[in-house]
Amino acid sequence: MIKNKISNGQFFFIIFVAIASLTFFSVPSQLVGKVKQDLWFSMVLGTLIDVYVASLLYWLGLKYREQSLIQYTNEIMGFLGRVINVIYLIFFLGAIITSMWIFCDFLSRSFMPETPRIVFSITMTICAGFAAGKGIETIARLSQIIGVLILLTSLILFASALPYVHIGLLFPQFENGFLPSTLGAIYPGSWFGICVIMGMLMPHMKAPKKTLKVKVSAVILGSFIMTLFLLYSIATMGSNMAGQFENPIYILTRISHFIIFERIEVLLLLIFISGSFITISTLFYSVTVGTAQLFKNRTHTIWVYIFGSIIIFSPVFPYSQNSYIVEEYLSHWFPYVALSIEGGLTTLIFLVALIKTSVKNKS
Amino acid sequence: MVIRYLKCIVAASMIMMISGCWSQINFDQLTVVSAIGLDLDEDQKLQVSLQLVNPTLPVAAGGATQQRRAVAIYTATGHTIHEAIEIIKKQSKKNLFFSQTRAILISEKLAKNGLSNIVDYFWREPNQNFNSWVLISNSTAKDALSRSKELLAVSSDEWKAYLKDKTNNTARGGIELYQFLSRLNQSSYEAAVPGISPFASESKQIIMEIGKLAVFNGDKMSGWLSLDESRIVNWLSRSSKTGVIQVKIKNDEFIDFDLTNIHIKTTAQFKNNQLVMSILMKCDAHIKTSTEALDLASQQVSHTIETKLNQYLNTGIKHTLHKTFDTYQSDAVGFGDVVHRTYPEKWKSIEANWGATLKTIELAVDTDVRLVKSGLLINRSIKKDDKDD
Amino acid sequence: MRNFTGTLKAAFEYIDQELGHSSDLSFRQCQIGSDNTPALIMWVDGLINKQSLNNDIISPLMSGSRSINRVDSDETTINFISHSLITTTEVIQVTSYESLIPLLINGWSVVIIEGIDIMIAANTQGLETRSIDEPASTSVIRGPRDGFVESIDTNISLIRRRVKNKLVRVENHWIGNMSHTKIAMMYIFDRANPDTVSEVRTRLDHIDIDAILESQYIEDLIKDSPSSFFPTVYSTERPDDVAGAILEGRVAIIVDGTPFALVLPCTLFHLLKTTEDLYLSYPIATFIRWIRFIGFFITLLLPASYLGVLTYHPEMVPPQLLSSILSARDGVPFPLLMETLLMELTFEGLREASIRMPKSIGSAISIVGALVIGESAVKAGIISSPSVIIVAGTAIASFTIPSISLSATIRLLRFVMIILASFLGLYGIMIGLFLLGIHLSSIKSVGMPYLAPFAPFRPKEAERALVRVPWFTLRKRQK
Repeated sequence: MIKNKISNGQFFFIIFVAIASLTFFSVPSQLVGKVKQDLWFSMVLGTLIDVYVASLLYWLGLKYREQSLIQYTNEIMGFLGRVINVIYLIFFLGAIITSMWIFCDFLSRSFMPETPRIVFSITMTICAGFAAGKGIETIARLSQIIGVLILLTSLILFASALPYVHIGLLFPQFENGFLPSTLGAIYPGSWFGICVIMGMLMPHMKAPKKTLKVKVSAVILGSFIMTLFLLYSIATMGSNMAGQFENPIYILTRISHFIIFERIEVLLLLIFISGSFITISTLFYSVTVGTAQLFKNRTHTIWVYIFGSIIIFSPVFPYSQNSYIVEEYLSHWFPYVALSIEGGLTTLIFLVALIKTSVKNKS
Repeated sequence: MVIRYLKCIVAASMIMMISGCWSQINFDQLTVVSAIGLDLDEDQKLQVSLQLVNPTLPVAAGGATQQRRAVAIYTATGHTIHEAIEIIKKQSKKNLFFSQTRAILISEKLAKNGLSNIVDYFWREPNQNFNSWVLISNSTAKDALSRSKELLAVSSDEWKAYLKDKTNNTARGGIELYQFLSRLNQSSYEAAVPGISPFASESKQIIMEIGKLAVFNGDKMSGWLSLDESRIVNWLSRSSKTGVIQVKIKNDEFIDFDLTNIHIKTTAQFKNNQLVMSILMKCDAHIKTSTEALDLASQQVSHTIETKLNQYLNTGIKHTLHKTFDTYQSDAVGFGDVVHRTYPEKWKSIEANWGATLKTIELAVDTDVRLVKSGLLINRSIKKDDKDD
Repeated sequence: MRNFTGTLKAAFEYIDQELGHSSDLSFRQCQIGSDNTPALIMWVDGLINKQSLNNDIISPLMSGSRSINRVDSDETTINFISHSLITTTEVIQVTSYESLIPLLINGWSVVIIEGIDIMIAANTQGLETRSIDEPASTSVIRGPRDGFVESIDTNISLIRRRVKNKLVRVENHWIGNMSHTKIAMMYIFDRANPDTVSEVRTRLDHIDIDAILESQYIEDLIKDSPSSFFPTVYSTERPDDVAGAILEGRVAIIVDGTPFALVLPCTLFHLLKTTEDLYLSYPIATFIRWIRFIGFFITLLLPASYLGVLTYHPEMVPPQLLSSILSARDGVPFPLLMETLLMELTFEGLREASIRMPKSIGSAISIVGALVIGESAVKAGIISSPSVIIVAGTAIASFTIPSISLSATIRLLRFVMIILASFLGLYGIMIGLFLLGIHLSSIKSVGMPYLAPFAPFRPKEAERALVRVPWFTLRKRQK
């Protein structure tokens, strides 16, 4: 019996915060440079991919009540399920490490230039580990506060950046046809897809029936806000300039003023750092609980420590400073692998479960 | 047990973290760089001048009695900006703080020589201000920084305040660093930067004037526009929505107008493979002063004035555009962007030699001025008898 | 268990011995009845009301006992005395020493009659108490001026007189192996959540302690996360506060011997509300409540962000402000961190000193504080004026927090934040806030999440926490 329950509102904000912070740190550098002003189309496609995955997970989650993704995969696929579970867990871990890497790298390059990357990963891992150890209820409550903060800051930023916007810079649309933006959808798609953790959270829901609706609206709101951010930065700087920066949203906030405060980017970063904190905590929680379920441990505390000590070292992994390999990894390997796990494996599980149910119904 | 050890490791890493305060700034050594000046010296080397602010208490807090110079100028040469700044750091022995730079002055000589090899610094450096205002200096940037006479103690503060002020009608549209950087790279909308030029010199100090625009072709400056032309370019590039102009109605009859609410609409059209740009300008005109008596109550008079004004603006716009396009080969008003937006397909073929295409553009200018009642007089007019008194 | 035999001498000696020949054990011998039966009245000095002893026990016994006839059975005699003669509010007939001694030391008087093996205990309790006056810790401009006193009965009566309803329940407990302190749980039967009530009851029953001298003892023993810095029990000196709390369905605990009552459950937002909110008109009360919320964050974060921004992100400071801070700090010998810590500690010292000072020389402290710190230190260039402003701002903000215990917690955490900000700047403050957030959202007060009603979010309650909803809109709900 699961004790910790989260409400729809909390689930909404967990997903919203995750989408917003993952997009903020990971997507812009790939998307803005490659797709430019058509990026909204990529974001829409990415959202659609995520909605598709979410509906599969929703069906599975309702079918196997009170079971997590790891548990029902085991039940559906038998021995193969264990393999798939291991893949899922490694993927979650990889996603944490990748996003942690991007996070530390970005902060140590723009926010606090002389601070070693490992400091960010240590502090963040401690916070996330502490939260993951306390359980999903704590994370959910915090996400409500931080989610509202992100929404408010975004609104303030949109308002204060308005005088700098030239709508004209957003045109022409689809200059090079639909192909670049369609291909570009893998970036938001793969990062949004990390919301497969929904499969891990669903057994905690107070009202699992509404999960899909809540999840879809959270993803739409999150990707809408972030699309606005990206379009704003293009409309302010022009696609040429925006495409050259690692993070155009960050530059956008450096350019815009808020009353007498000329540099508000630090505040924006702080807000998105808190978003990342929620995301990493949720992922951390999912991966530790998932592993505990896989190995049938009583608590997940031990795994918090084990995975924590791995994650701490994510910014100093070999090749992590080799910009050729990093570029290759972020623009090709990660998105394709992530999409095939999020979309592919989930579909596979869904199909097998569907066949099993129909066979059972017939007999 | 394992958990206890791990806790120890966590604690140990915390202590490790505490041992360093990496990005900390020694706040007491912090010195604000209020302006950067870029020159080309005699040996064709880059010369960087920094205007450092010596903090004084605000006047409201009794700072007026402090006897210390408000700014200090340091200069060094180098192949790159960075090299020169490193030298300046040794000279000033201070922690230079670039994040609140107010203005960047580029000397005309350097600008004409091309900026492509120095702008990389501004793109890459995280600690700089994308909102600093770019100015092209007629004299050397060092001179402008050190000898300019302004009411405020720090001259660049005054320039920034002037360029930023949106309520000041005479203010010319300035350009901020981020816009400048992006325009250097694109041919469809090239940079036009306000110039700062010595107006008159008083003993050691020079009174500086900000007004004329320097037009860029790519990363090279191609030339100056006159004050009237600059104003029109500012309107067309939408960086200013107001302006004060003087129109000659008849011989020896001048009227000063204050134009407000200027709206510009630019459209591109291909007619038989000939690019036609049509410009529609709408604005309200307030009469400020007139040298002759005006009876604005009569429809004819006001009609004449409106026509004259329209004509004046019309020819002014055409003249200015021809000058920038033909003489300077610069698209300082962003026509390229308009074409790009309307004909994305055709743009791909034109883009490469847009500079040449500029000369062949056919211009269709239309202006629509509305006289608006303003001032203290009845009927916006001075009657003869009023004057006789 | 009857171990009383009815001999006066034996009884007296036994009791005297039990109390260790304590000199405040007093007695009076008398003879009652037509046959002059010796009787003994015993009490402990100081615990009883002498007037009541005289009027209600001694004089009726003397004057009215003529009609007692030894021919009657013991039962009849005792019943006659206790039912018809003694006029105190409570009379018990006791047959064993074990039950007698506690009564004696609670301020009851005992009447023993030679030859009768039943004793009569009469309630003559009369402790000297302070009169009801305005509470010193929380004063209001508008609102009732009475405060709790050290007597539990008075305190209960102060609450009862505000909520005159049969649903008010009072449960007594005696806690403390030595002190036998009386503790009363008060709640409204229909409104309080039965789970909360039974939870509080079990926690009180599980207390095992020597003595309870103040309600803080209870607070420490029953609060949810004992190691947490944050108070999860609300303590107040105001009866109207407690009355309001029990009307909301919370449970109050009143402890004998202290004017501070406890209220459970208590969330962070309960600690930021005051009773006066309810007495002011709603727009003003809402505004003041918001000032208090802001004060909470300013107390926690202002010095830390000052330090963090200046040492890590000076670009955030608007240029003119940066220029004046730079010029004000010109020549100040201390680094920013040290200066901030020094000033904050000075303030804490001043604050503590002014509480301990006798009231008559209390103003000396403020003169010294204002003159030495505010004027001389800045003029001498030892301390920069912005940091004085920061400390003063923090101090003002900390005084807006109504709960003393919360204010103390926040002031303590402020130092943690300053340390974090000195290591990692604003990022360090964020880390501190995360850890604080995790802690706050994981603790509970008797089952109620500490950050309720915001996390978890409950729209109706959140609205009432943010805004003091005017009474006229609540009319429907009150029905």
